Amino acid sequence: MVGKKLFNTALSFLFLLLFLPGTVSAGSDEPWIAVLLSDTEKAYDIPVRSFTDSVAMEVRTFNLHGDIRHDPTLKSRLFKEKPALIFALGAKAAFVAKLWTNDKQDIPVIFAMVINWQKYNLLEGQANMVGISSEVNPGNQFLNLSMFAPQIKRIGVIYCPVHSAEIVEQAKNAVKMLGMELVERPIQRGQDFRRIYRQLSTIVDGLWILNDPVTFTVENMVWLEKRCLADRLVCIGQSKELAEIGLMLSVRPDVSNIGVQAASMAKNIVKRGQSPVSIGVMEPLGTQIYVNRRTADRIGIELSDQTLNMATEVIN
Amino acid sequence: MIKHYTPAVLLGIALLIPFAALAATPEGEDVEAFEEIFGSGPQEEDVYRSERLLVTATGSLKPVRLAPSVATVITKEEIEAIGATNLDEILETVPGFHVTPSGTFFTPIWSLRGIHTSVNPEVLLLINGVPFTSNYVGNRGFRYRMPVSMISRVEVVRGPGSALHGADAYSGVVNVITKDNFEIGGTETGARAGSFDTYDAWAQHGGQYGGWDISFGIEWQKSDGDDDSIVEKDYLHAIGLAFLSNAPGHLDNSYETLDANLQLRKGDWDFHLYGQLLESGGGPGAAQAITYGTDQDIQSLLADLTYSNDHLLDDWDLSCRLYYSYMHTDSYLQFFPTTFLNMFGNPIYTSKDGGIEVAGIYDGFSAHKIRLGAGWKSYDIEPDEYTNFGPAAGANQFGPLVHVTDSNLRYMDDANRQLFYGLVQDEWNLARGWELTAGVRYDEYSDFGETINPRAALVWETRYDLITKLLYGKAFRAPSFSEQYVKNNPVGVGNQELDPETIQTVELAFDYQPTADVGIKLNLFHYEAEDLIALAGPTLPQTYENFAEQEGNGFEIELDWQLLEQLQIRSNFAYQKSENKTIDHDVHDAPEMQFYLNPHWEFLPDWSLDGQYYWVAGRNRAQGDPREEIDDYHLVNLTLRWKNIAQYYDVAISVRNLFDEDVREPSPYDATAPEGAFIANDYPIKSRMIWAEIRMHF
Repeated sequence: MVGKKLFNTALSFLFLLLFLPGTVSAGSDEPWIAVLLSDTEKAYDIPVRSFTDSVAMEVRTFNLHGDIRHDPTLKSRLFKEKPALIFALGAKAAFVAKLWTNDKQDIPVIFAMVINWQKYNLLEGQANMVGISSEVNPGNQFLNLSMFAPQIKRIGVIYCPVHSAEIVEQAKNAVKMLGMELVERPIQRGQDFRRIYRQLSTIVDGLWILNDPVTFTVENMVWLEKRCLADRLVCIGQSKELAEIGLMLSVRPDVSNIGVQAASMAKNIVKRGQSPVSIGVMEPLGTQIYVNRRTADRIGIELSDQTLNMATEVIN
Repeated sequence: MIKHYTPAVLLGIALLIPFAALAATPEGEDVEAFEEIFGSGPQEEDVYRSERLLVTATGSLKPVRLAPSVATVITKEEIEAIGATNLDEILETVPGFHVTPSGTFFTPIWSLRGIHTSVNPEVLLLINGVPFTSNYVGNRGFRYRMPVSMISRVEVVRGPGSALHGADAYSGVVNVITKDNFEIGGTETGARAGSFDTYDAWAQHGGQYGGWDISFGIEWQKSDGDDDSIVEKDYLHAIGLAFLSNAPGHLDNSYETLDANLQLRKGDWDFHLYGQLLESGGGPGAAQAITYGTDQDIQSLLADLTYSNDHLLDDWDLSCRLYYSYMHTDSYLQFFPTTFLNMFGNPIYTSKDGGIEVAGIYDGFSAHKIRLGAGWKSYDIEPDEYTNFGPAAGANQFGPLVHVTDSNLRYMDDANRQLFYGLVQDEWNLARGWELTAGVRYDEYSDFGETINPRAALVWETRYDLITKLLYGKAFRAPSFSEQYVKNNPVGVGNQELDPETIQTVELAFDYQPTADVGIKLNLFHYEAEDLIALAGPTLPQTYENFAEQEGNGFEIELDWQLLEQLQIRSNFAYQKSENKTIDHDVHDAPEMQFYLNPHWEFLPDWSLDGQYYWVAGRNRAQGDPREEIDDYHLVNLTLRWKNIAQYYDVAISVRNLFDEDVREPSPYDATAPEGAFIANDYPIKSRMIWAEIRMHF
């Protein structure tokens, strides 16, 4: 009997969880900013916090929870009182902000943390969209690579053209200027990653890991960490997590700076009347460099104190 | 009647409402545009997800939240943080898992979701994916304990696993993955010393030499046991000979182990070797009479050689594994204090299992990942015996030990069985956010025949922050050689007509992440077990029979909450209600409720304080046992750790059973004991213990 009661209680508990209400603060006449999140990933926490701390205006947070259909009331709640600006984090949030302001282009939108932002045509037909690119440009990444591992001349990259053709094209130009060579291998399915890696690993001395959703799966990255060590291959990625799991080098935008940078843009637009059209999509202001020293030791890369001092964090 | 189903109806409504909402939305064009971009295939934002991977559920690496099973993965960082020094302490943190000493020499029972038996062969232990099992009783061997320094991670799958792993993956599977050379990355040594003359020392090294990846680890542990684990009364009290008893006296919990691990890897070849030498005291003895002369001496070896090839054929990942396990158990049993009776036994057995397994994973279809596998395995046991009583001792009863050379008088004959098996499994991506894993394994044993075990698991990404799983599986436990062949035993004899134990389990699981810092899981389960093997019969010796049926229901709730940047809370609550249908009585000794709270506070850089709180409750007595209910208990452990001192050193201090609770684990019911058990006041477990540790890594 007790068991049945507990069982029923657990089901009721689940029911409540599914309907946890969102929170919206009370309205006021002061300009306020809507932060629209794609979902609840931790990656958005730091930029949201630094944006809120820097923007000096009321901030209300809305969450798509990964799907425009998740909360049918979200749009009406967001526009119940007109926001002075929308700060959209993530591709889905940026895309939805574009859709929802298509007929309200007097509401500016700043987007950030949108990987491959060009893919979504966010600026097309919109005079209100501005953004901060989520990638450190390839030239900057390879420059860092050449400082930490100057012996690297041939860099391999495995990518899906649907997602990453443009950045690979940029990278080709960047490596030429640094006297390197980019060996590219397009794939269509994540399952092909390992097979192509095996072909590539024999002819390159470094591997560039893209934030490409076809190649960048957790399974592939965990597998790659072991293979790169075994093959003594320098890998450069674009997230702190990659350096933590064991790849040698990661270069990414400074995520706390993204929030500060967006806050500065928001103040210029809302309080000083700057036109979004004049801003466009900006490069991220700062970069963070993560170096895994243990990996470097194991694959035989000597890192001087001078180069280590350049790193945001050295992972031992 | 209807109100019993109310929560289920509410749940159904909750799950269906998103669809109703879709139909009602006036923003059809927006939805269409959104779907066009994000409707199928992988998304850029997936790269922001942080995942934990699991291999035990499907045989391939898969994120835990999407795995077609209810599972927990404990990493080496967590093991270090909680101050666990052996595998049992790790498993105690898993929802629904309770480790308790058995009446058989204190061999740990891995009690899981109400599946709780005296020798506990129902949880399969894998080491790097290879079974580590004594074929004599089907468990991990008497008083098996694994130290932790070479553990990379422990994967625990609750629920049936026979469709993939075959026999004994019955109530769960524990897969211990050891560290490879990259994880060790150099050399680490460490030492630990603590109460009860407990010592631990280890060394490990990993590196690349001549194109070989090599990792090696060795660990020695020793303890004299807790002299304060006092048993007030024992068997001799029950028969009116208290004056000859060692009770009140402490249980002999001493042990000494030496474990070694070796891994060699080159190209497509991977070789693991694990060995253990174990000597341990007899706990409550062979007859529930306190003695200090019982000793288990066990030598174990597990070796496997795997060839993997994912580049020979497009879309195929092929592997072939040869494996061999050896376990030599030499049990020196002093049944009673010699002042009462000079009765000794020395049963010995050597368990030798080996086999070959070939597997192929085909992922050439866009929505399918198909696993095919087949294998052969041979099981052998060679018993031996010395004794000073019974027919083999002849006229000189209770004199010197004699070798039992006449197989008619030995406790068991040599035995062998062969196994052939084949399996197929498909991980089918039915639609966006829906995956069906279906599989079946066929096993043909040379002695008890065939068994077929299917599974089906539907995993639905209900919302971005919610995963729903509906799981079904059937599993079996093969009768052990002792259950089939033991003889000349006054208590129980084997039965060659035994069928395997079977279990069918249905689970409904939810993995919900309401905010970035909070993860909540809810698992509901129901199982029905049949043909459970037990000793049965009106007179001694009893015979092993497919005696019982058992049913159980329950749930587990897990919380993982990053409360502050430096403070993480992990907690779980597990409830189960299991009934032996044959005797119409709740399953005895298994806790119906367990609560675990684990705050972890990194209060300064490189400093951490970790607390563990356990509450174990609702353990029933066996049918007919006149003793009072088993007391619930609370237990608190604390571990303080300081890492990277002068770059190379870590130190830690830990207090186990901080408040020195008098914790008791149930002693076995015996109908012939006047008080219900010969050690009536249950088994005391360790009192407060403190240890200190230093590690050096370079």
